[in-house]
Parts: sequence; C-alpha cells; structure tokens
Amino acid sequence: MSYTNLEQTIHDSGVLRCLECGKCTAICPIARYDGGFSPRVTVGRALVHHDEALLRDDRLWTCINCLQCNQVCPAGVDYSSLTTAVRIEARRLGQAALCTHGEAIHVWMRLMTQPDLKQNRLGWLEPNLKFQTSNFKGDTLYFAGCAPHYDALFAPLGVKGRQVAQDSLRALNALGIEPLVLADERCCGHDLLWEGDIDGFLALAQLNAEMIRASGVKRIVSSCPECARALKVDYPAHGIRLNVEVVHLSELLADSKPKSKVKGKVVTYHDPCRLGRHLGIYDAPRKVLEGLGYKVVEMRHARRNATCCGTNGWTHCDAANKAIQVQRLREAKATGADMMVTACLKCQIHFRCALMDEHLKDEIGIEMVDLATLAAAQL
Amino acid sequence: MRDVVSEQHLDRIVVAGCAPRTHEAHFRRALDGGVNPALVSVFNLRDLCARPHQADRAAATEKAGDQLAMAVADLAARVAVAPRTAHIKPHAAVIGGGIAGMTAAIAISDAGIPVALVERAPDLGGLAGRFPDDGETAQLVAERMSAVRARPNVRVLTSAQVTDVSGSVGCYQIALSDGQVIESGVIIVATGGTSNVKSQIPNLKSPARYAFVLCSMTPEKQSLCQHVCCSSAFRQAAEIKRQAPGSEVAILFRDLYTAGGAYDALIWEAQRLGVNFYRYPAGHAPRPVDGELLIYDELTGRDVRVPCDVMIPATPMTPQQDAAELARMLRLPVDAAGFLADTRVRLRPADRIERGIYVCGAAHFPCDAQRAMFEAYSVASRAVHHIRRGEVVNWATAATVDPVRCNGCGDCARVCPFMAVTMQACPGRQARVDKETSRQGNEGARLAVIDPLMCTGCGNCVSVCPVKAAQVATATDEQIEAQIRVALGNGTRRHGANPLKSTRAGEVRGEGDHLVALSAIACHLVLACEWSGYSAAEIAGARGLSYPAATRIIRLNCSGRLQPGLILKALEMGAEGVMVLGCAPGLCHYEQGNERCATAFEQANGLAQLLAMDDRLKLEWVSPDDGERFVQVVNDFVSERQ
Repeated sequence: MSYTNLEQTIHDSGVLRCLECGKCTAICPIARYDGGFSPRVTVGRALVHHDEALLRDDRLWTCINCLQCNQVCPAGVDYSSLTTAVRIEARRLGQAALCTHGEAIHVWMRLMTQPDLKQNRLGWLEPNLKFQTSNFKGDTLYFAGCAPHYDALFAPLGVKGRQVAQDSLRALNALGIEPLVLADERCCGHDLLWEGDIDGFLALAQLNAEMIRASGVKRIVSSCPECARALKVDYPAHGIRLNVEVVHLSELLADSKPKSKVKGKVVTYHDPCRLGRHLGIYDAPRKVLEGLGYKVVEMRHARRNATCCGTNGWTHCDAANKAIQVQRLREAKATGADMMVTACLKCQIHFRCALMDEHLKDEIGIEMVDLATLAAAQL
Repeated sequence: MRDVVSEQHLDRIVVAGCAPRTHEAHFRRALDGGVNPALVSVFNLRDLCARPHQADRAAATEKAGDQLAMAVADLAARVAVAPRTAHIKPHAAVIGGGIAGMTAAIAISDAGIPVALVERAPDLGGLAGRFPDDGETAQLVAERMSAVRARPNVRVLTSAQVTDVSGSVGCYQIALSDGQVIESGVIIVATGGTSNVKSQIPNLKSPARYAFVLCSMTPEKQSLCQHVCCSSAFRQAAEIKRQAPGSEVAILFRDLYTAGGAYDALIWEAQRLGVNFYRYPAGHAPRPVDGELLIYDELTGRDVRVPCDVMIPATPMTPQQDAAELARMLRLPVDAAGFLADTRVRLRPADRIERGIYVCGAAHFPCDAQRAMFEAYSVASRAVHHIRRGEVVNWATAATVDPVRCNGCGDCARVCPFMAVTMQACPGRQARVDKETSRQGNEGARLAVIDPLMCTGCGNCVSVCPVKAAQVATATDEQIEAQIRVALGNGTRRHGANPLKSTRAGEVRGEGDHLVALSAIACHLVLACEWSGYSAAEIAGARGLSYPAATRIIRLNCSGRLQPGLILKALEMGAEGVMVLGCAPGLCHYEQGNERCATAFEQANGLAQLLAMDDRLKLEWVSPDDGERFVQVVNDFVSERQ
C-alpha cells in the first residue's frame, strides 16, 4: 500500500533532516505524563517509511499541536504538519478520531458545511453594540467564531463565551471600529483540519472565503486565536487566499488608551499555543494588560515556553491532558496573581473543566477571565 | 428454539414478537446456557408495526423490516455480558450505640448472626441515655445496655470512630479510629441526631411566667414537623408546674404531634396541671412585646397577649455534624435538612441489588425512642433476611470506565444516581496503562471507578463522559448509531426527501404504490425510554391507535443515556426529526435519568438552534400507560414538520 500524500508530507515536513536527538519528546508535555507517546518515535517511523505503524498508532490522536517540539527541533522538522497529514490519511482509510463530548461539536461543525444552511448566528449581538450585517462600507470584519455559541455546552463550567464575543465587539467599538459581522459565518474549520477531516475543513473554508471576498473587507479581527490561525495560515496553505489582513484582537488593543486604569491588581497571562507559538504574538496581550493598569506577573513557563492548556480540537483528552492542565493551574496559582487571563476561550473551557476536580480545586483554584472582558471594562 | 441454537451455532437471537418487558426475560431464561442473555432481544412487532399501521400495509411492512434490521444491527454490535455475584458475609456492623443501634444489634444477634456495635462515645446510650430522669426511657436504655454486653456474639466497641468504609455489596471493610477493621456483610447506620433539649430546662427557684413556642422554624422549614419538640415541651411544662406550681406556663403551637399511647397522656397531664395551650396560624409567628408574647389565637379568632418572662423555643433535632462525611463514606444520599436519606427505589429487583446498608432512628429523621426502636427492629429484620440469602446477583449490564481514556474529570461521579462511581488514585495499574497517575508531577490524580455491583446500567455516566471512557456494554454509541443508520435507510431517507402526506394516519395507500417510493421517504426517529415512551407506544399499538408509519423507534433503558452528540448525529444522518421520550419529572426509573436527558437535550437543542435545526428536535414526557398521548405527541411533531 502506498500513501502518496503522506510521502510528500514526510518530505515537506523535513522528517529526513531528523538528527534523532530526542528533544521533541523531552519537551513534549504529553510525553511527560504518557510514557506511550513519543514524537521522536513517530518521526523515526516516518523516516523509515513505516507507514502502517504511523497510521495504526494507538496514540495517533494524542498530539495537541502545541508546537513545543517544532520550536526546539534543531533540524527544523515540522512535527505538527506531519501529524496533520498522518491523521488525514488515517481518516481516508476509515479510522475514526477519538472525539470528545460525544462528537457533538464535530457533528455540529460538519452540519455547518451545508451550503444552503440558514443560521441564527446573530443572537448574541446586543442592541448597544455597534456593528453592521449588510451593505457594509467599512474595512473591518469581526470574525466571531463559535465562541458565543459554546455556552450551550459549557455554561455549567462557568464559561461565558457569549460575553467574551460581546466584550470583544465592545472593545472594537471603543476603538471607533464598527465592524461587519457575518450572519452566515461558519466555523473556521480549525478543529476539523486538526482532526484530519480535510474535506470538512475545505468545505467550511470555502464557504467562509466566499463570504469574506464578497464583503470586500480589508481586515479581519478575531478574538479567537484558532480562528486567527486558520484564516491567516491554514486557509492560504490549502490554496484558499483571502487577500486580507488577519489580526488578533489583542494586536489592535495593544496601543489603546483606556478611560480609566485599574489599580493594585496583579494578573498572570496564559499564552494560548495558537496565539503564541503558532502566530508569534506574545507582547500584544501583555501590553494590553499593562495599558489597562494591571501588573503582569509571569508563570514559570511563559511566552515561547508556555505550557499548553492541555487539549485541543475536541479530540482526545485523558489523564495526561488533565495533568498538563493541573500543572499549568498550579503554576498560575504559584505566581500569587489575583487572576489568570487568557486570550482563548478554549483554554478557559479546558482549565475550567480541570477546576471541577473536587480533590484538587483548593490547590489549583484561580479566577479566570478573558482578555477582551478586561479590556471592554476599561476602554 | 434451543435445538435451532445448537444446530446452527447461533450466538444472537432477535425475537419478533410482542412486549419485551414481559417476554425478554422469558426468552433469556429459556435460552440460557445456549445464548448469552444480553444477546437475546425481543422486538414488539405486533404493537409497534402490525397493529398501529394496519391501514397502510406496505408502510407497515417496510417499517417492520427496518425495525427488525435495527434490532439485528443493535445485537450485532453487542458483546456477551455476565451477571455479577457477591457472597454476603454473615456478620453485621452497627454504627451508633444509642437506643436504635442497641435494639438493632440485639435483634440481629437473636438471629444468631455476630454483630459489632461501634460507638464513638466512651459509653453506650446515645441521645436517649442523656435523660436519666425520664424513667421510662432510662429503663429502656439500661435494659439494652446490659443486654448487648451480656451477649457473646455482640462485640461492643466504644470510643471507636468510623474513619473509612471500603469494599462493596457482600463485604464491607469498616476502618475504626483505633486501627481495627471490621468486615461485615451488612451495615446498620444508627448514628442518631443531635438535640440541645437538656440545656433548656429552666433552673427553677421561684414561680415565673414561661412560654414554649413550638413550630417556629425558619419560614422555609416551617412545613417540616420535627415530631419530637411537642412531647419534650409537654414534659418540661408539666415539670415546671410540679416544681413551681405558682408558675404560668403556656404552649404556643401550630400543630401538635404525639405518637399515641403514653405520649397522649402527656398532654392531659400538662392540661391537668394548668398549662395553657394556644394555637397560632402559619405566617403569624408570636411577637415579643413588653414582657408579653403577641399572638393571633386561631381557636378564638382573637389577638391574645400571653404573659412571658422566659421564652423557650422548640427543641428540634438536627443531623449529626459529621453526617455528610459518613454519608460520603457509605455512599448514601443526604436529604435537604442534612439527615441520611433512603434511596428511592423504582427499579425491578434485578436492576438494583440490595446493598446491605440500612439507616434507622434519628440518623434518618427526628424521632423519639419509640420510633427509633421500631425502625431498628424493621431494619434488623431486613438485614437478617439479606444475610440469609447468602449471595446477591446483579443482572444489569454494569457501566465500566476505561482507565486509558478517563481523565478524572469526575462528571460521572457527580451524575450517578446510585453513587456507584468513586474517584480513586491509580485504578488502572494494568500492564497496558502507561499513563500511571502516580507519574512524577501528577501525584494525587484520580480516575473514575464504577462499582459493578451497585451499577444499574442506566448510562447517565456515559451521557456525561466527555471522553467516551464510560460505556455500558449493552447500550454503546456504536449500537445506537447502528440502529439510527438502519432506521434512516443507510442514508437513503434524507431530511426533506419526500413529504409524508401519503403515510398520514387514516389514509390508505393504494396497491399500486411500491416500496421503492417508500424507502426514500424522510423519517422521524423516536428515541424512547422503555419505561415510558416505548411502553406508551406499545399500549397505543395494542389499542389499534394509528400514527404516521414513517417513524422508527429506538428503545433505550433510560433517556438519560442520550448525549447531545447522538441527537445531532441523527440529524446529520438525515433524520427528518428526532423525538426523545422520557418519564415525567420525578418519575424516572433510575432516579434522575430524565433530568439528565433534559440537560443533554437542551445542549443538543442549543447547538441546533444556531443551525436553525431546533424545530427538528423535540423532547416529551410520556406516561407508560398513555397510548393516546404517545399518538398525540407523534402526530403533532410529524405534522409540525410538514
């Protein structure tokens, strides 16, 4: 059996340059808690074209794409895209991903690939927010993503996705931006791509791209690092060019002047993988917080070395993933900060799930809030 | 059937017959030894296909074929399940050496069963033992104290606090503060309640004016009669009158409760001694004004001023301070007031086996010595019966948690109605588990473990498990999905494919119509709990009530098994509509499965709302005997969709 695409990816991802130093496994947060998972072993298999072993690996759905390994690799092996390619191939061969939440979110995303769908996507927009949905003459689109709609599943954890989207838009309004909001926006497809569902990803990407092109906007603002990464990196990588600037909300807010400053509050900032290592945005969110008057203290692992929130893409979440979350929350608690600020709703969902642990909640409990919410309160 | 099974080496059997509730067990018994009971299923062809769709033979035939194919698909994805058996250790542990505990210990020891009586205080006697001046009770306590000490098969352990309970049905290990561990087949919980009644008897020097105010609990608890305050007030009031006859004593009450017999005599005695009684209505709590209590006397219909120097409030009993901790160790529910509660059991005996843990006396509810003794005799007799049975067998398919997948979120432990789930450190020490929770940096992590004896297989844990670690072998996602797929014609029956008009109730299909046209008809799925919706559908069919034939029904043991992903998947696979039927609130066969179902349905509905597909989903509560309502909700749902 031959896997043409796989061969190409093995070549493109630089597997052949591997020096077998093992730094990838040494830094991998999953491998720290799951002795059965090793990026180095996977790369080794790719190196000798042991495709069966790659595709039938029972840890195929384990990698969380946090990009720590890519970052430390002295030979520049792109482990992340190797994993994506292997998953795409495995799905083509009929393997099912180990989806979390009873696959509800994946099914939901796949249902969004229907072109003639009529969605109720604007329910989260409050009347006091300034935005437009049609006949748009401006240049900025706010890509809300699925954040305002996750509350249907995660409200019991204390997740307020709807509020994060509202606050993001409120912050944009404070900057004098009245963005376009798409009534028929689809999921960006990030999670489907990462789960190997390339067809689903492409369908969503094309539907979004058509709408974005038709709107004539010049800039897309996203408050979700995953949407930002998908629109900025993954769409063009799969031949879908938007020819617009894609920015994360924190980049716009970095230089803003707040109406009032907060006094005496200490926060610690958790770098989401997609915003940090994937898009290289480390300074902007910190500048936003300092601009608002917060004192930012760093966790033991911060910026390029930040530990991930533990899981990703609604795929696979076991004791090792939970251990990463618990470790990260311990780091946050150890800073003595009043709260932990994230810039990604999914990080918050994952951490809040870990906080439900009745045996650990006193050790790891910390208040958690989204960057957009803090910004909207002061701007 | 047995011959066919052995000749053709059959390992799975679908019976196309009538009600599975009455016949499944029968066929399973008949085929036992040949085919595993979990691999025998009965589909009610008569009441779900033949009778309700008599008017449209072609549609009825097509539905019958589909439903049987669904039953086959369900069985094909199942695995054999063995029942679990536990031997019951013939030993009883009684926790609490008060009047209830001692009474139970004596009754069990009378049956020849050895008993360990555990009391945390240095002496036996408990709450009732604190009333040496109450002759009758004191005598009861004294008799029992000497009786338990005299018996060779009762071990009395005083100054011993229970620190941990492990083990499961059949044999529990009870660890005590002195390091001893008692192994026992049954546990009687007689830990009592607390009361400050003694401290309130006034110190009498000279006559004064006393008012006892009963039933004056905080507004939210006003309905909760404590059953013990009245008699205590009668006794104290009479005592005051005897010791200082010049005193004025009044008892203000909303309701009087006495447990008959000797207690009634207390009222007459108090009245004879000149105690005044006033009844005040709800919402008119007595107000102290200038050394008097102002009340509205309900009997005379007038405001009355009751003279009062000393106001004595009711003396209710409260739960032991550490009752919740004991409940956690014993995996017992706690009621709103904090007392140990009974699990309400609506299950057939095969689903839920007797645990061998019984609560009696004031640990349960505020009660006096008489009632505590009555309860003690009652649970002792149940305990003896349980031990004499020798062993218990659980036939329900227990849920299991795969330690490789589990991340220890604890959601299953939170929803289990039977407290069968515990979070344990390192449960998965098997060769194939690399993910030791004891790995460096991950100490203290816990994973879920389901007690196979206490589990009833309701599947609520499966519904909430975010990582598919919890599974019930006879109701897996794969089985339910396989049924949905077949019901929807493997993708041929798509949403919006064809209007349903030709299959509406009462319209007769012409002979010229054929199955090809039918098989492309969009179809409604009914996911029904077998204790409500499925049963109502059977009743509807048995009575010849008709509803659209383009419906396919999937039987679930509990609607709480559903998770939002399954409901959305049915839409993705092309269901025109998905209707979920469960038991009415408060009537779930598995305690709270319907509440769990409502949550899961709301989640699916919330996600579907975004896609404007929520009108294709419906949740209804149906009584098991209400065939008309089943027909009505199905008709309404199908016609709304047209």
